[in-house]
Amino acid sequence: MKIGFLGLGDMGQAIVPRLIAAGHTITGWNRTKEKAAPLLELGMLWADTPREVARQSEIVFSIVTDTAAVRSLALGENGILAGLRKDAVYLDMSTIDPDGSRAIAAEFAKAGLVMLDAPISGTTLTLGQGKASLMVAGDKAAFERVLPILLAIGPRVTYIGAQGLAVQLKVAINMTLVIEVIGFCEGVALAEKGGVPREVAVDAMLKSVVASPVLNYRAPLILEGHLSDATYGNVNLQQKDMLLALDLGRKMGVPVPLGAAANEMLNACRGLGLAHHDFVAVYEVYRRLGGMSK
Amino acid sequence: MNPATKKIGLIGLGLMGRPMGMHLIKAGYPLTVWNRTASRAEELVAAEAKLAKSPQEVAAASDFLLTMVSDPSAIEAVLWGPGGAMQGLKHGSIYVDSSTVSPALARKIAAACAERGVRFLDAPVTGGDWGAKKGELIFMIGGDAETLKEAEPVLNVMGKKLFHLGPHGAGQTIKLAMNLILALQVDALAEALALVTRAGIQGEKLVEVMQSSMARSGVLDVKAPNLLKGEYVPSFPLRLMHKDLGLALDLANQLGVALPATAAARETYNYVKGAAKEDLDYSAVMQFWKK
Repeated sequence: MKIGFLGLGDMGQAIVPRLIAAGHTITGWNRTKEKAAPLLELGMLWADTPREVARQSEIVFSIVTDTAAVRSLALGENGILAGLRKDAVYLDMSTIDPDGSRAIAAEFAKAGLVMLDAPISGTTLTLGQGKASLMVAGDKAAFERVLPILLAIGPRVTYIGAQGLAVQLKVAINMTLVIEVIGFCEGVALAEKGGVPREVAVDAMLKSVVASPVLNYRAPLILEGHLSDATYGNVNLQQKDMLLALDLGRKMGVPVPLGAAANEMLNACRGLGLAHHDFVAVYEVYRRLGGMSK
Repeated sequence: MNPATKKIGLIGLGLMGRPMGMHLIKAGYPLTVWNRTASRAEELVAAEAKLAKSPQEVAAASDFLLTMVSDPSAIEAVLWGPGGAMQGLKHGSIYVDSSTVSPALARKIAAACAERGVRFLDAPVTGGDWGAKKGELIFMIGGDAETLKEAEPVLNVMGKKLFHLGPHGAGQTIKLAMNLILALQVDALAEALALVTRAGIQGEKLVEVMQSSMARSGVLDVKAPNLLKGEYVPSFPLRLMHKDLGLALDLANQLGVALPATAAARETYNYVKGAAKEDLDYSAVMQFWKK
């Protein structure tokens, strides 16, 4: 199929090759053209604007950092809406605020066009391993049509319901993920302060029932000297999603005390100058607060 | 200086703005006012204030403009919306914003004023509507000393103490820090009351002991009766305290400072705000334990 892909950051770089490998023709665009270079080598085509990408595509994907970025490339003068074909489907994979997503989708609906929210759960690591999960919401018939293409991106694709509900769920999942990883850091700190060597504590956690997919790939980073081994999601990136969750809680009148507490730990991390590391660097906050030697 | 020669403009005639306006009129200042809901101006107009058609008209008629609105989006609308005040402010005039907004917004307003030769102070207040009615507000001020000196006589009509805290934004920063203290204090009292009540002891007894001890504080003196009676007539509405907690946490987030207790308290206030069917005082945080 002819697929358009907007947003060639880390996630885009990992997704586009999978679509190419599945035999699709991809036309891509990114605000900074240089990022497209490695994908052009793999056979991706380039178009100068989101509008141009949309004109040439049966399915259009976008994955960018925030609501403002999505709004700009979807609804801007040379945006997707201006070029999308009547029978095409637009899927936004960005993790943005649900109300923002719904407002953008409403503009597409007014023009008789379909927009689905299709946030993707996973890191570049799990994507490359063919293990990413997608949650999709919006017009069900459109979802059924694009499902085979989505399965080329990741094996676990779940239909959630009315448009906007997939990003809502993604925000909730991301909040749970951060709380979980910070909880792990708190637990290891408790053990280590009491005399258990850090490697032993981490190993035991990963062999226990608290072991989860995310802990399996993040836990090793807190071992001495390993923090810079990988950055699956740095503090700032993870905090962006956490703030979405807190904002949702505030808007809906649902308290999220653990989310709020976790967010303050991310602040503490930034205060220590660790924002560019994977957010599991929160462990370093505990280490310093607990007066533990390196 | 004879008050009658200094024309004052007042935008924002809510719980705080109305009593502040009355004090200005009583002190002899010619007052021009505007409010989004015009009916709120009745009392002041009856006391000889002039009602303008827009924020711009108020600004154009003033040597000294004062704004007292609920939140950042309200002040942005008043200043930069259609018929906004910024385009009407006169060169050489003074503009004081007593709304509680972010330090960053205060600095943005200051810069826009400087471009027009207008002297700005951020001067949020504490004291509640009770302090406003008695003319005993405390002003927390950011801006330059010279401007403050000229603004003093006007501010002293409404307040009992002026604190010059630093450059633009400093007033707002201190205000946000103050309000987080107040929010936590009242939340702490609510938690303590929930604890003793569940243990079978009357809340009044806790309050009595607290008031003879080192835990005593002015705000708890004022708010304890609300929590004991379960009556929360708004003196400082919960939705505004909740907004201020959000601004404090935003500031902390920008600066990379962790505020665990404030973050936790905001979630409690979130719940009560969401569940409340009417506008309540922030001491209604006690309702978290009423479920």
